[in-house]
Amino acid sequence: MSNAYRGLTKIAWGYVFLHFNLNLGTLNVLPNWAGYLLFFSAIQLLGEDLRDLPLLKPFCILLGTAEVIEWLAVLVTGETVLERFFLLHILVTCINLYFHFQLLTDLILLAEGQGVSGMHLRMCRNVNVVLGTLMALPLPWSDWGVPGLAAVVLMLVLWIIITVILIWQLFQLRKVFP
Amino acid sequence: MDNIWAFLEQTLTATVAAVLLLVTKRLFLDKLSPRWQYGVWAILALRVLLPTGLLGRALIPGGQVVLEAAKAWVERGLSSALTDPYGITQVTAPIPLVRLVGPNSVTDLLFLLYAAGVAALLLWFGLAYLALRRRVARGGMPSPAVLDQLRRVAGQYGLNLPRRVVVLTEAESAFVCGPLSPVLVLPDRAVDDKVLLHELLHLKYGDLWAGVGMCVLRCLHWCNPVLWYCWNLAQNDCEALCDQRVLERLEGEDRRAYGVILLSMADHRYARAPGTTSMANGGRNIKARIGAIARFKRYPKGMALASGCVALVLAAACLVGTSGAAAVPAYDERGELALAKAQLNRPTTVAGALDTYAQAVLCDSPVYYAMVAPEGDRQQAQQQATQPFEEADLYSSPFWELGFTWSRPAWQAEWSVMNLMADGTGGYTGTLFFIPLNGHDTMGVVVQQVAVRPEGMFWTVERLGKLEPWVRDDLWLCPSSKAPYTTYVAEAAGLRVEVDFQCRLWVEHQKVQDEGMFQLYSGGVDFTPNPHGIFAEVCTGIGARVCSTETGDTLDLTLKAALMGETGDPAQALEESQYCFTLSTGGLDDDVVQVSTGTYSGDGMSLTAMPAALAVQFAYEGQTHTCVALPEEVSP
Repeated sequence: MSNAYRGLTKIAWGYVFLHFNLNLGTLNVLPNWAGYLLFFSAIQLLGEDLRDLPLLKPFCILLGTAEVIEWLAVLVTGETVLERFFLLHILVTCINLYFHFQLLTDLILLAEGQGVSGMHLRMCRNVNVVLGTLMALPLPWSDWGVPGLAAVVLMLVLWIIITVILIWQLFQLRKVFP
Repeated sequence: MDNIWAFLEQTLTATVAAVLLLVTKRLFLDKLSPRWQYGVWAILALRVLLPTGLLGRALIPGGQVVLEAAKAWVERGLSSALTDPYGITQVTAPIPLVRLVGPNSVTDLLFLLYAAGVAALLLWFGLAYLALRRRVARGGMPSPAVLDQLRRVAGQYGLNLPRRVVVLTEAESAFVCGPLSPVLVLPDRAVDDKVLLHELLHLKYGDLWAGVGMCVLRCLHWCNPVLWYCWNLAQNDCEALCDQRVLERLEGEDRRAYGVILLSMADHRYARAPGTTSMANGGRNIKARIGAIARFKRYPKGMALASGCVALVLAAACLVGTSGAAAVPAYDERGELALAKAQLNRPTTVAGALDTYAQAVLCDSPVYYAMVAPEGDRQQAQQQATQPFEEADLYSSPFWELGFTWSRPAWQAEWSVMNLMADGTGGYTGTLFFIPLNGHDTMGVVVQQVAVRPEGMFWTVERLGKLEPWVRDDLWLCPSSKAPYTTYVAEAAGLRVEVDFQCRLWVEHQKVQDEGMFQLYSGGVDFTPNPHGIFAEVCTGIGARVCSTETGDTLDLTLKAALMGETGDPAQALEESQYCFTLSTGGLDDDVVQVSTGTYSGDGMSLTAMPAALAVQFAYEGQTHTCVALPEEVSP
């Protein structure tokens, strides 16, 4: 198995951990930090092929640490903690947006380097960053009544579809590498 | 900004935004393009120009409470002409607004000093610019060879030429001066094409105007070193972006040569003058720019989306902030912080004002009363709120007389208001009723006449009478002829129609929820005021009498009545009103309502005070009559 194959597998599973949760009480058995652990490992594997990818390591550590704190906070208190620190939360949101955008950009380059179209991944990347931004903005969705609720539901549905496509695309892409 | 506290609030908010931007820029230093690095300073510029607290939101949660507490603590011993120690600090404009009054305190003097500083710095920058323009005006004409070189560079890169080009002997490097009528100033020696390209690009992208804007922003917060540092960085980012634009137009060896030119300028003096751009902007800044050149790459177009999204999130955080709502103080909190929380939680609705006042009565809490007290009582209430906490004097209370239970923090009662009538001046009068909680036996209820009045965007409650015990066998208030009601009267078709209308309103009382070891259980009523609450429940009573205006004989008729405003069409009200009743004649204690289409609870409740009038319809002698009944008598 090549490093690229192993790296892409880890990233795909990383997104599974990141986007799907299985809760037993307050214990999330698919923790987000495990996703970042997989991303970190994948960055090391793919760093040789993608020159810019190792630049994401500090962000990966930072986001992973934030997720560990959140996971522990939910486990112990039942509530998230990061949102209470507004400015820190904003910083983490910005890093999060950039990290996933750049990670997927690098994977698109990897795919296109092998003659595979990165169109679907690019679409997932762009929709993901736009949805992430919309959700981070302090828009008064609930004050907008039914249209606001409809918009939130639409965004959630879109987000689920995009996540599934993204994970599927990553599992498909790894097949290109022996 | 009309006092020093408003300036402090504005400059502290801008500082927090600046720190957030500095940290973010450091994190993305080698990841996002120089365009982004320079562009995000626009967020700081907007933050400085937008008044803090806009939309009731804040960048620093809890920051306003601390500032208000500090203000109250400092100002209480002073008699400032510009600051009201008991008012809420509001930033109405991003510039100092000086009122022509003599300073009465050190804080007044500090504000005047700040305002004078703004004016002095603006003047200094203005004079520095004029002096530079005068020197530039004395500059000589460049040689035809230099003009040809300039035309060639402009033509090669498709750039416009400046209106005027001069040679100044004392200039160490080329620069552009004057946003309105730009002049390219050249030193008295040969200038490289790339330097000319750099200055022409400044002209193309309007960097001179950005420089003027930054000068004004420096002046507005002249005493804030963090913001000065940020504007220095912004000017350096402007130069770095211009470097990026130059490098994007150069190829191969020219790029390396550009770095060498920049390096040669590291020892040049950097005289910051407003309305100018200079490629040589000081040794330290040039070092940073050379670092940026070393990192130079063409950023892919797709990155613009991520850059924009990150900038949008940052802008929303810095400009809109988070919920600025300060927590309502606890009933036993005292001191400046408690008072600040009270000040920031003044009621914004009639129901909120009554709820706040009622909880102040039930908890005997001066800090709650300070939230809702009318202007005349406010100072005294606020002074009481800063005194150490004392247990309530239970024995002199009418609640004690009637056998209400006291269980810390409050008398175990809930409130409702009856006969809440518009007073014609924008406010309301009504009777507050305090009735025991379910399961508590008392000898009656406690009542008080109150007036709810608007004061700016807030509502206050004025006591019109004392708290009085009302001994009663039963606690049934509505419908009941013993409780307050208003009689609405109309005359039509030789008949006098009298409709007694009664309305009891209250807010939803929150239950205290406590988490036990294994389950959530519900405790008693939460006595924390809800200053922005709305009436969520209403109970109505209605009765009607019809008699002949000539003989005075009573008649038995079926009537239809609907609530309406003082003006309007009664027929339309009868068709459209949310509260429409079909009733037979009878008193409030009788069950006269045959059909009702009222909505009696929920957030969308439209009956939030006694109606200004009633639309009445009845059939008499084969004809249907529709008329308006106006309030005539308030009982008791």
